[in-house]
Amino acid sequence: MTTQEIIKTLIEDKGYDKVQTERLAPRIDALSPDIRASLENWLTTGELSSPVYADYDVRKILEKQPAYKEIAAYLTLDWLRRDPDAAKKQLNRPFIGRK
Amino acid sequence: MMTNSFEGTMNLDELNNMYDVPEDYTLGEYDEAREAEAAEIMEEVFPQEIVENWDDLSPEAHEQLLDEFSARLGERLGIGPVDTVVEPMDPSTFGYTDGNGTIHLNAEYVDTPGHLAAVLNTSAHETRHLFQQEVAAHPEDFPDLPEGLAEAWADNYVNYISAEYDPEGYAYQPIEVDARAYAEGVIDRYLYDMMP
Repeated sequence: MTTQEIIKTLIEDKGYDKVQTERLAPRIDALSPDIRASLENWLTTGELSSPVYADYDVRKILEKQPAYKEIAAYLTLDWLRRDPDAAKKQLNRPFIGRK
Repeated sequence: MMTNSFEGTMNLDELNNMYDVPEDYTLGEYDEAREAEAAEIMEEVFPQEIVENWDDLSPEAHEQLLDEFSARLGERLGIGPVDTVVEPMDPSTFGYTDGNGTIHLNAEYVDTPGHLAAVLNTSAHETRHLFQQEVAAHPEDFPDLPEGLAEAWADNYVNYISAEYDPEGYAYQPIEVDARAYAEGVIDRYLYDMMP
């Protein structure tokens, strides 16, 4: 799938917010190949699986942060791959911010 | 966990997990006074004896004290009194503001022992967001702030990155980094003066 096809599927099939989702294109482009493959697998089969980085897979991320969309879990997995300390801090921190 | 002691009530381990500002980020000198003033108000509203007896206070008393803090801080920041509402929320949320001059804090963290430092951090963080919004809307009222800051904040509020979609982008967008840095500075000053 191209990035644009991923974004289109997230918006049209998963009901994601258009503005927030379209902004994710560069992040989706930058995903490691294995994480991107698991994202595409979820979009095509519905199976929510992924590789494991820093003891997390996407299911564990979503259990930790139930408010996250699935795409946030895949992006967080990539963040864990690149900077596990910073990513874990955000994962372990209850939400503070703007609604 | 020890409670009904300053350290137990504050729970600095939980607080440290909230600290996450890029190493090269510093609040401008223009904000040091705002940080110091906030810490001063925090010391006045939450002195040692209040903290040490926090667990014995009623939920109504908790809310009243937090409301007093945010009201006084809002006045001092020049944005008018900020109201605090303590209410049940999903445990994944410490608190939030919806931009109408009110901050909302999770009752579970306010009224359960061992979270006060995190609650105070959240209160300072959310009040800072209301300050950012006022600056973005009325930069002429804050002439001491650097040129471009109001526009940067206004742009970020228009293009706000939601944590539900992009947690990394959310964490490092300018208004969130600024709010975390401000709250960390306030708490650090408060604890430095308060800890035995």
